Amino acid sequence: MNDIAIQLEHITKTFPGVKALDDVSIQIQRGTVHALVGENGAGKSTLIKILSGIYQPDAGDIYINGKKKKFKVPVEAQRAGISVVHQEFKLSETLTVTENIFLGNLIYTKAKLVNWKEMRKRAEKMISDLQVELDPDTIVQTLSVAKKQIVEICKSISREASIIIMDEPSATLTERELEVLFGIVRTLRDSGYTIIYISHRMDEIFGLADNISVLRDGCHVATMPVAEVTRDKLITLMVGRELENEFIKHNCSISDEVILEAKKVSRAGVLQDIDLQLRKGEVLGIAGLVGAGRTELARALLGIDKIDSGEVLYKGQPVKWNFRTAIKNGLGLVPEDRKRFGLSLQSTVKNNITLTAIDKVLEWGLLNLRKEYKYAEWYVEKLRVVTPSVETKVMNLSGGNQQKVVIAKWLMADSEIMILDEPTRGVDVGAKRELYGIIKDLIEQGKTVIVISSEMPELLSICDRIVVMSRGRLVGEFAHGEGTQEKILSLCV
Amino acid sequence: MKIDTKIGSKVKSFTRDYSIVLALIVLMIAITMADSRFLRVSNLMNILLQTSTVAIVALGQALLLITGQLDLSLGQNVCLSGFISAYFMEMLELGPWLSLVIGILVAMLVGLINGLLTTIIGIPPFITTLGMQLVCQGCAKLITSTKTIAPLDKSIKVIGRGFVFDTIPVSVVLMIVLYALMAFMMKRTRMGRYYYEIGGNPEAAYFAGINVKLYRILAFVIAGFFAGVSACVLISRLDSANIANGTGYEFEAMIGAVLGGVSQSGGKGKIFAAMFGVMFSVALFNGMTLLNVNPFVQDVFKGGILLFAMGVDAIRTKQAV
Ligand SMILES: Nc1ncnc2c1ncn2[C@@H]1O[C@H](COP(=O)(O)OP(=O)(O)OP(=O)(O)O)[C@@H](O)[C@H]1O
Ligand SMILES: [Mg+2]
Repeated sequence: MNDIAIQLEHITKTFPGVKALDDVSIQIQRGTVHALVGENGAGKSTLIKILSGIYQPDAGDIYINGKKKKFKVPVEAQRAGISVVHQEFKLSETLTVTENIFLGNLIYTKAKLVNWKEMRKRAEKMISDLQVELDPDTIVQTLSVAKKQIVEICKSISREASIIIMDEPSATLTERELEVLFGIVRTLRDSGYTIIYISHRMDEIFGLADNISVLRDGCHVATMPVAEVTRDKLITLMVGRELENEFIKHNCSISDEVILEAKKVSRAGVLQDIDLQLRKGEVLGIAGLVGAGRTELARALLGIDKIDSGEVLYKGQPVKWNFRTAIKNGLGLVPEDRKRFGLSLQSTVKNNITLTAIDKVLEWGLLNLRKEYKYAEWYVEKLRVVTPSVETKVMNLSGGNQQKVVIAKWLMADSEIMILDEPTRGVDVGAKRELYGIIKDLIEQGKTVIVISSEMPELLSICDRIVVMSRGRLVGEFAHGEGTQEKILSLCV
Repeated sequence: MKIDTKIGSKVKSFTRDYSIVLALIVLMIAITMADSRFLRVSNLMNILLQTSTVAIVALGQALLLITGQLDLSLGQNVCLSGFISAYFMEMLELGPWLSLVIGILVAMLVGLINGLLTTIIGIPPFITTLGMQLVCQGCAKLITSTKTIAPLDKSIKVIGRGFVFDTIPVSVVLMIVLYALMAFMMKRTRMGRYYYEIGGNPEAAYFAGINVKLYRILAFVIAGFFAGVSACVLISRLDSANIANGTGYEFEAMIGAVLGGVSQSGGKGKIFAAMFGVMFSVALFNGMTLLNVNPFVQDVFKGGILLFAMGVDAIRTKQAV
């Protein structure tokens, strides 16, 4: 069997309290895009880490191109031609694209000097082979997330990798950038690379993959060609139960009361003359490309960043608040960058969940630890966070489950207005639906919700109203049912 | 997928959090085998007394480390505030207890300045407190032109040389009470929780609505308070305020805290473990002196142990990420 690039046999991996992978055997064909799917905590990232030498399996064998391999350190996997495009990029921000691509892998002239000319030429060729636009001399710092990802991919290619693994590469990209990424992935596949692609987005998987492997609770459930499976069947395989229709539209009565209002809010370079009214009880979506100023708008409303001109009104009163007073007045924010702003990774699930609303478990000025424990358990159950216990450190949770912890943290704070910045990034299909259900609950309790998201279908289905931002301005508004993906996209540009 | 490991993990976390206690026992056995004088009551008492002053300072250092900061001026702060108390007591003939309170207040003021400089101005704690170390030292010298103030008022003798029930030194009791209060504060109050979370990820703490700056400044003030208390114990025990008082305490406190498992990268550490950490290093150097190890060699060791403990901690944190 010459066309098998990777063969995994009976891979098992246990962490304290969790069997992350249980007797997993998968074959991956050379020159294909192989999607790896499963719920949060199913074991996808763990499998990748084993393949790339970061973890060692407790049992089982890995065959690369038919040869048995044991990777004790990541370099050994690299030598075997395996390269991972990490979700957190490992680039040197202050160096150029070319320098980054060849960092640690420099090309020398005969005189043993660094051969920049040659490297620049190769970088240029690599970039043009991928059919993207990118100047090899730009400093990486100034690049968008999408472009940085391309640099990462080039880095893999320059290392002479034949197998490229992408762990949720699309999570930080917007629709248009996605198209570029898909183009690259197809180009790579057609030139003989084998690609392992992890994603929670169904559209992507069906648009891109040749074969799909499904993991569930650490077990390999199925591997099949994409043509042999339907969307619904795939979801059922992933979650092990049938889900109702993918999106839930709530019909609620929005009051006329304007709870939060921005009047001509400007902030040099990021926001310009934003006029926005948020009515009590509505779900407002904010659409736009990465960098359009969506997060910045949220930050301005919450007083995290000072505004240069204009004003923010809360319940009709102009406010000059900082973030803390905003929180005290009942605003909440599920931030976009969870590792940086949302979580303390070395703290336990419990301590993270209860931090914002710790006053709820105070009794006579002291923490009631039992009560705190119960609160945490309640939210873990409600959001189905996969964790051995609430005392587990958050860094040991899978990406999607970490995101659920951030959401739990703000649910517990019980805010009047909840701003969710990319809340479903990295979250599996089942959990997404649970989140939509939670938004519905919030609305029914009389709360108000703002959702910032790059996933258009999500906004279109859950929001009562969508505003579109582009280059720091509000450029359009759609009521529920009026907007379409095309209309919104055309405004974004 | 869930395995019930509650009891198992409790035992495990205890042995991890308090492995320093085991190390201390092993050390004591080893030194005793080399020289049985180590186990004499007078020697053990000596160790306890020495531990008490450093360990009280270590409380502040541990708190700062937990919040991701540190204070290198604590030792000189002990020196300065001791001098201030002695000066008010003997030169200005103020009431002895009032003088001690003034000393503690000055120590807290030093902490406050440290806190403001690092948090509001933004000088890194390392540099701020290094500078403050010199400032404190200079001030102490200015007050008395390096002369020792002795003897001190008899009534304060009880703190450093008094005994409870004629057996346990007052200063040791004081140390344990302060540790108990602090441990309780860290575990059971909102402030304690905030400190761990600020140390774990200050940005996330800010995004949870915590006044990170205020708590950080407060941590410096608390550390200053403990330095002031330690100074009271020290001048009372020595019956004098001396320019050498408190020298090196900031490092010994840091060695103790880090040996006890308080992480230099913030967010982690059990309070009582810091006390045992200090006890460990005091016992170690006591043993070395008993065994006639050259004092210069001891200095090398002291630095070495700090680096060793820091290294172990750094490796541990690195693997965790
Ligand atoms: N270092 C670790 N220590 C302990 N448990 C871990 C560790 N890494 C992963 N786990 C656990 O192993 C399981 C599988 O995690 P993994 O990260 O592989 O999931 P995933 O499929 O990538 O999920 P997601 O879609 O959320 O990223 C999870 O239950 C997780 O909590
Ligand atoms: Mg993952």
